[in-house]
Amino acid sequence: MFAFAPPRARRRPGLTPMIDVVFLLLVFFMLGSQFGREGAVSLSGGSAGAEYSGPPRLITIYPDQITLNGVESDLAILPEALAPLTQAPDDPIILRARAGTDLQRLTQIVEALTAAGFDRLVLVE
Amino acid sequence: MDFSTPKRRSLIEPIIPMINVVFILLIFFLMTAQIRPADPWPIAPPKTDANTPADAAQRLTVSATGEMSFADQTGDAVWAELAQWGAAEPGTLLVRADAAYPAAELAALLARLSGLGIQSISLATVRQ
Repeated sequence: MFAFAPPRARRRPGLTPMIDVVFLLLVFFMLGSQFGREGAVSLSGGSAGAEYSGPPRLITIYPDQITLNGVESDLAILPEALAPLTQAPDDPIILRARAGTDLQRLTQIVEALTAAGFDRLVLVE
Repeated sequence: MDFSTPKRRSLIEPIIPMINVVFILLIFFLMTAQIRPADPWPIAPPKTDANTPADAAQRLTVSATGEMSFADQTGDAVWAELAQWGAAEPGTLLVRADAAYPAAELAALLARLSGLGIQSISLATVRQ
């Protein structure tokens, strides 16, 4: 008879390398992902090709004041002042920014108008 | 009475629950991560209160001093790339501009983009 060696205990594959890889992936995705999700406001340019009808609705934005059709206005009363000038909420409203106005200020006004339901805002030069 | 030496408890903590938790975290980050190239310049988009999620086909990055970047291109090559993209039935273009970028220059930029056939434009914001 042959004397076979006693069967060897089966080796378990090591878990440590797998854990290392998983941790590396975890750290990569933790550092690489962005949490503050970006938002967006809709805006169109001057030559967007939509017809304009109705009374003028021109909002001029200065660094320290806002005028509606040349009359000094305020961000709080702007939606009420615009209501009689529009028939539908999707009537275009023209925004014009004067020198010194930065994007933060423009965005505040766009946001306020969008919140009031005016969603066709056209930025012109 | 049993005086035999007590069986040594294994010192290693059970590792399987930890692996389970790590895998769950990994799957969470895999699902939520958005992988996209970093901005060529640091950009601080304007802050707003409301947050409509941005849903855009392409991004145009504009720094506070007006440098632009689009589809791995910078400088004047941006306009050629934008013209090509605008001609091929584009979706929404997300303009990621710095909060300090002059609004009057943005107006000029939007007019030029409209001329290239890019009609749907939104402006990136971040929540305050």
